[in-house]
Amino acid sequence: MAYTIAQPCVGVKDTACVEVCPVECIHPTKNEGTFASAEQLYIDPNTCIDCGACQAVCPVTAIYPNEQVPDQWKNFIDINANYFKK
Amino acid sequence: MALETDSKLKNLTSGALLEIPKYQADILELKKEIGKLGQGAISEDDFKKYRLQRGIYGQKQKPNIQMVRVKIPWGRLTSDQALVLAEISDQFAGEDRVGISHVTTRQDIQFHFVKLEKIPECMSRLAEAGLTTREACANTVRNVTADPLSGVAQDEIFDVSPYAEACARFFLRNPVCQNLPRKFKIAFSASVADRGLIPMHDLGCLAEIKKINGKEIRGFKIYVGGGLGSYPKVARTLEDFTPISDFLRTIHATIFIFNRDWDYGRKYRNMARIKFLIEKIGLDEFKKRVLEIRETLKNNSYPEIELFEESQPQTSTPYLTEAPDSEYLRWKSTNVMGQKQKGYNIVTIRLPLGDIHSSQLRALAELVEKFGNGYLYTSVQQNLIARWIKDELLYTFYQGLKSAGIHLPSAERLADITCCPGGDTCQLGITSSRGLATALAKLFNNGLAQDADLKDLKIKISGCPNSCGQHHIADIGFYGGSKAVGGHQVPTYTMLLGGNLNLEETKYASQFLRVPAKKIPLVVEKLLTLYKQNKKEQEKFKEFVSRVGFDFLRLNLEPLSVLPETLDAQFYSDWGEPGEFKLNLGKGECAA
Repeated sequence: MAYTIAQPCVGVKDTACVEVCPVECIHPTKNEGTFASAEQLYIDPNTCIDCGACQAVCPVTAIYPNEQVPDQWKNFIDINANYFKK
Repeated sequence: MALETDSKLKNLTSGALLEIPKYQADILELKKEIGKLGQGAISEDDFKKYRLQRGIYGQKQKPNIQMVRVKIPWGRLTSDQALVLAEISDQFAGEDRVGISHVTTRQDIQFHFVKLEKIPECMSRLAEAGLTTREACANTVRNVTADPLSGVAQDEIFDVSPYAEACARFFLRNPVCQNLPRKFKIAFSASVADRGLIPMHDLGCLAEIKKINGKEIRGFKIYVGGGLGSYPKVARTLEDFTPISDFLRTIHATIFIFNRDWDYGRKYRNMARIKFLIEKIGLDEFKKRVLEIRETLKNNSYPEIELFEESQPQTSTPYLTEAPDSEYLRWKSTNVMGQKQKGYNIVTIRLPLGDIHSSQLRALAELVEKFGNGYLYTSVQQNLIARWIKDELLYTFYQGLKSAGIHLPSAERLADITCCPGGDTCQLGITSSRGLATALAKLFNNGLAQDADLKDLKIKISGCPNSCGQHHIADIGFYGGSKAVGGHQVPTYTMLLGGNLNLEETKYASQFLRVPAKKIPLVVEKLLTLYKQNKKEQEKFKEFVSRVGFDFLRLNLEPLSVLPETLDAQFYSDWGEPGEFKLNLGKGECAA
């Protein structure tokens, strides 16, 4: 099903989630060139294994399993997926 | 054959005997459901819920390849049961697991690669021996685990086995726990050494004795809300002292509240364990609710506690005189511990990967009949334990183990690595934890041979973040992952350091480094070298890690974990697995 990073990450990009993701599906990372200009971090839904490790460490409660994304942020599900279609 | 006259059923508890006809009825039902599945009369999902309630897991290899999980309440097996398990492993386990009984980190026995159509027959054989798989999986009370030394340990407060048995039997098939929000795991410890691993359990019972009105009363300190996985939590005190007259009622009330008040967990599976309920409403409110319900249960009757007498074996078996055998002496120093009953010993039979072959299990069953008390005990370290081995019979017992090839030293020492079944069979397993454990074990036959017996230093490996290998409580823990590199997938592990299980003072291991799987033996070897070269006298590994800090260790170890510029194919394959590694996960059945 995958997890999604939603609104609270915008402008924050803490990257605690990046450190714990076992399959490295959260991008951009600090050593990727696009990190500075990125609005937020994104989860690749095709690689995400639903372990929830990212949600456990997010300091701004930005991460949800897709079926639990609050209504006002449901558009972030596509935003996350579309980031990886570039 | 009538239950009471079947000699295979001697030495079973009354609870185990009572379960037999109920389990046999389950088998008939399951046969019908398998038939319906074959005809398309029920969906895969409906059938899955049915078989999980009966301890049958779907493996990664589809279709219809199952793992069978046999509950061994508080770890105790009769020698007859061990013989039946050996036979089942020969007849029903498949692939490279033919003949293998696997001891899990929760004291169960598992068989792998069992064909679905063979499951009813496999279960029937288990029933004949008073064994059950009922509620070994699914959202139920799972196997009740306990200190495998309880009854004979020098440091025990009292023997918790009868209470673990009563707990296991009371909740098996109990309507209060047939459809919980999530699984519920209970453990008992007989001493503050906490061999039951209480802090990581949904509910844990630590033996205590309190003086009340001048009389010594047995009871438990009850802990709730522990767990590992992606949200590790340390269990907290529910009640400082619950007398044995009330302990079942208290556990019942706790599970009642979990069942009644956590529909949120039924809706959102990633937050379904009881630790999340406690976090949501707070421990004080949770306690208040439990005590309220406990009060309403005060007129409920609970089963009598069946006390077990630890019996001295009656044996006049001829035995060998101990010889100056350096291999034996080494084994004795690591695998043997004196019982509280003077002149007798506890012997740990170390099982690499938790596996024992049927021929070995048969030999061991015979040995404990001849020299022990006729029982074997599974341990959460994935070993088997024998007791009541007289001092003068130890050497003979050892020679028996040696003939069967189960005389490895280093039990519960550094070389005794815990690992989950991992990606070889589990749908959620990312990497081959068994492969890594085997690769690390080779180190202890070579470059690290002198470190194999190091005490207070445990390596635990999980194939994914769910922590069935209990990596959070290890001195050196690993959980599997992967990394995309140049169009390939490289298996990796997140390495953690510093786990310290110590009841309320428990500290789970912290994330330290991410390491490609094939680099791990090098990193572990270097880490141990750093420890030996820099430790203070008598300093334990966890103390050393705390003192020198992660920065110092990373400085030395991170360079070893870096992948070369040009990767060769060995990095794209996992330990023990031919071919290129791919992230290949199914829908986890422990999350079903």
